Amino acid sequence: MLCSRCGKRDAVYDVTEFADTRLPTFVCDECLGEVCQGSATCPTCGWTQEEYMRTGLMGCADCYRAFLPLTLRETLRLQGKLIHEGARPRRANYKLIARRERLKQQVEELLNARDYAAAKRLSEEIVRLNREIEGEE
Amino acid sequence: MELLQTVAVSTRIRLARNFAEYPFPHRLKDKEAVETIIHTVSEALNRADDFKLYRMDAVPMDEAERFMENYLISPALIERRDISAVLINSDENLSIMINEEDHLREQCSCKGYDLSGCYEILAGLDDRLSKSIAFAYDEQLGYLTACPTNLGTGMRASVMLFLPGLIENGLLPAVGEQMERLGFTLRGVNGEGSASLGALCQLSNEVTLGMSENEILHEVNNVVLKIVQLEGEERRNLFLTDGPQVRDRALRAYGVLRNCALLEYEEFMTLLADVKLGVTLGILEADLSQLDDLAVAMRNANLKARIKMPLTELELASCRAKYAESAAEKLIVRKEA
Repeated sequence: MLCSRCGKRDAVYDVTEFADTRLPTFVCDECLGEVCQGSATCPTCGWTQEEYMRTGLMGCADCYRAFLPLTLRETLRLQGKLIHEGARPRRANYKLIARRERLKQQVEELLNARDYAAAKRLSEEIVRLNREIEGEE
Repeated sequence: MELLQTVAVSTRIRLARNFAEYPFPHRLKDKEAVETIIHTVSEALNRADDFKLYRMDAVPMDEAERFMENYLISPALIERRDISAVLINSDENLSIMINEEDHLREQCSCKGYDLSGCYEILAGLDDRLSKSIAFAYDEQLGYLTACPTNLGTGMRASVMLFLPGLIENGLLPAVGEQMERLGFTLRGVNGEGSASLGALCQLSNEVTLGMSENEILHEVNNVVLKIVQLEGEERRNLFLTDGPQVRDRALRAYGVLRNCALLEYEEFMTLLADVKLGVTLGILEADLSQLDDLAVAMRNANLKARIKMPLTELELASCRAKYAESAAEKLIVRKEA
């Protein structure tokens, strides 16, 4: 099959399965290299595509999307595949967990200030949250 | 003795994970973020997990080296000691490196060969952690890691292999190249460059994306069995062509282990490899797994931890010789010709 970008060379990569590609569907090595040229900066952490090329490391999780289509070329080069087939993280209720952690800190502060009644009230709230978090599991 | 048991020394699997909301460790400058990450990971474990937290900036160098010798941490974790920590369980078969190349490197190891057993334990640990940590995850790319070489499952499965037959017959480079073509790495461990100390090599998967964890383990298993078969053939060839020499080396190694005053680790490992080959070919008798334990126990930091005293290089070599003598007497028996 010919490259859907240049229409001249044989396509070596099939990126149809990757959504949001900003790429031709079947692409040759040269065209993939060309579309990866240029610069991009991660809006979350400020890491740049050039810095990735220099270090081989992404700056944060959001760099992967910020550096498309370079991400695709690098993933194909290093892994030969594009789509994850393995386990997924359990979906916990992170909001409840964050609230519990804040409450724990507050309890500690209250105990330091010897406000035992208030600390007890918050501890009961933590127990309730624990039940709710465990219930999710 | 089953051939596989004489080749596969130990199994280790690790998972790379990251927090979604923080930059990867090489860009982590915020002290508060470092504290939160370390705190959140240790809080995420059950009390029953029985882990102890070590902050690397507070761990004495000797102890850090012992952790490294026991494969609980990597050299990179020590290099980042200003932000790094490690959680280790009391059996020392599970560890979680914090702020190495990724925020978390969960690891499970066992003696001998047990890929599925290791993975089962590790998956359980990962599951408990993911109840309270929002891991960086992309529906298409999987678990997001600092380096795209770990993308997807974040899983690296490694098997330590004892390969004296392949090494002696000069076939290791060819087998290594073949492995590379199949998406695996086979390299010598603890040796200079590609050389291996004690005829030990490590096989691990390269590809982490586009396959499920079980598919990866299945492929690693296929490749291990193939290498074991090749090693078995080469050991037989070695014994057929150089039988008397192999026998002589095994017996000499046994003799030196029982009769020397100073013993460097490198020499010890060479002698141990000769003895182990002698055991697999029926020249000597010993429990191979006990001999493999010695390979770790005889390393510098492990010896120092045993003696509990600061030792010079010379004193270390002397201690190692004494320890080798008593271990060889206890563990190795010469068979009659």
